Amino acid sequence: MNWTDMSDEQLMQAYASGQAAAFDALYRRHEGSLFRFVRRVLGQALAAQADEAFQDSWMKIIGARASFEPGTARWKTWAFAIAHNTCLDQLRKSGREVVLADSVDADGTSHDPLDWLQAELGHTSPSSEDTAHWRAAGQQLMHCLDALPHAQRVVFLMHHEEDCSLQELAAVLQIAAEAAKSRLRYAMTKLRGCMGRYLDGMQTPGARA
Amino acid sequence: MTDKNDVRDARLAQALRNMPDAHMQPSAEARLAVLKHAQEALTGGANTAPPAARRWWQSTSPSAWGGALASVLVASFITLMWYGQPVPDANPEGLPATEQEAKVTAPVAPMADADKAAPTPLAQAPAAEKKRETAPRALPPPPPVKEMAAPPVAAQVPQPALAAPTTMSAPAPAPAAAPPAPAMVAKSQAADSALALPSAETAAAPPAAAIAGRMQRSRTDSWAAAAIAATATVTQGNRSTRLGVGPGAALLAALRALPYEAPTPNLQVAADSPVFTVQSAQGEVWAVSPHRVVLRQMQFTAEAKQIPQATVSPITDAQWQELRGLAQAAP
Repeated sequence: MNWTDMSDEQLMQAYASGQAAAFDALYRRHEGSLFRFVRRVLGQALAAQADEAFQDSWMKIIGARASFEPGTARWKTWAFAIAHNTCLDQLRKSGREVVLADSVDADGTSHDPLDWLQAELGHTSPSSEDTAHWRAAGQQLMHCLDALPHAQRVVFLMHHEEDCSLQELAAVLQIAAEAAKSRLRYAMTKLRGCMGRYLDGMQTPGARA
Repeated sequence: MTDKNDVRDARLAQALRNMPDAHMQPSAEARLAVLKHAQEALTGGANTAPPAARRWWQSTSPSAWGGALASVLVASFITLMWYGQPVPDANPEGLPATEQEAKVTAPVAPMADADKAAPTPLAQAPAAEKKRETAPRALPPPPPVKEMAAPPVAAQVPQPALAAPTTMSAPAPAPAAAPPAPAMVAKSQAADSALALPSAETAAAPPAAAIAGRMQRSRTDSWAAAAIAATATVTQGNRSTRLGVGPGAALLAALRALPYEAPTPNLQVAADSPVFTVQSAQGEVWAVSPHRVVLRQMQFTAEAKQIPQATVSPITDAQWQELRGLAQAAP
């Protein structure tokens, strides 16, 4: 049986019905992305616990295999929701405060450390458009994500990294779609401000091509 | 999807793909642990299935059927336990194992000695022993047993008349001349044991023992009738004394053994007024004087008419002394 041609949902169903090879294919397909997601949600401070949270996430996915219903959500959304909850537990165990609310005042004034971070990191903007520039941008984004509130970070990562729609974000975070959209916009605004000159005058590689 | 495209930033996405951890992978240990756990979840699930017997019980165990099955199992177990054992007989309240237990209830303490002295051939269960020791003492005290030390004439008394006192001898305050009551009870027990007629066993008895118990009871009834028949009333002057079973039987046997002449209807005894008279339960009346004995009794004719008859037997001095001794044996 060719597992590579099957969708995530089909692989999960095949595994739930007793075919272990289906899980191997599913795991290989999403190993890296799930690990990155877990690592980035936990942030640099808890990067050492990424392996544990990653493993716990897969254990929960395996344990909940019988409860997965392909018609209600994509497997990726379902699995990343499990990983997100695992990260929340890890953050709580580590003593870090998890604030899921938006940290923006009604007048739009932000008190995020990203403002300070932007001021600090803005002096070292890249001078070229080569690969090194994007590596530096990626490094900058990692710092910016670390400073982003957890709720906004998760929304941004799932939306940009895992290609989740706003509806899926709302389902995973159990919030309204508008709230998810609002969080995403706040997150992008902060990140753009944090990235500063890394993004000024830059075009994506595809755009440049 | 338009809203999604509106909020997506291609530059941030590009920066995201160039983050330092973009190509990081989990450790090999974590990968192996996850894959191993996935395998075990499938095989372990099969192993943790309940055993076949439990699944069968769960699938076929509505409460009613389970209860019925349990009842059948219990009944089968009891049947197997009782297999080969006789079914106990009904014991009416009017006969609460009376005769068997009465003869062992009187002297409780010596009873144990008697049991030890006369072990029964049948195996006696400890429960039966306990029951016999704790049996209710309900019978009225039967006549004393000192008459067992009766003169040799008593040997001529029919066997039931002799056996009756032994089985009904409960309180038995035996005089010094007589054998001690416990010993006699022990002898009686031994005799019963020899006859394979257990006493206490009949209380919770299986059928064979119950039949033996009924035989024992019927025999005791006949013994009681014989005992009544063996009683005699001695009248001397104005004083009448009712002799016990043993002395009465001995006196009656001695009187009946005399060589009487042919009966004479309406015989009139003119001389030798009797010293005492003896009357049996059967209606016989003996007038005893130092030289002769006159027997009066009613005879039934073929027409069922009663005709008084009398007969005379001369007696020697020795017989006179013997009869007078037996008549004076009353307390």
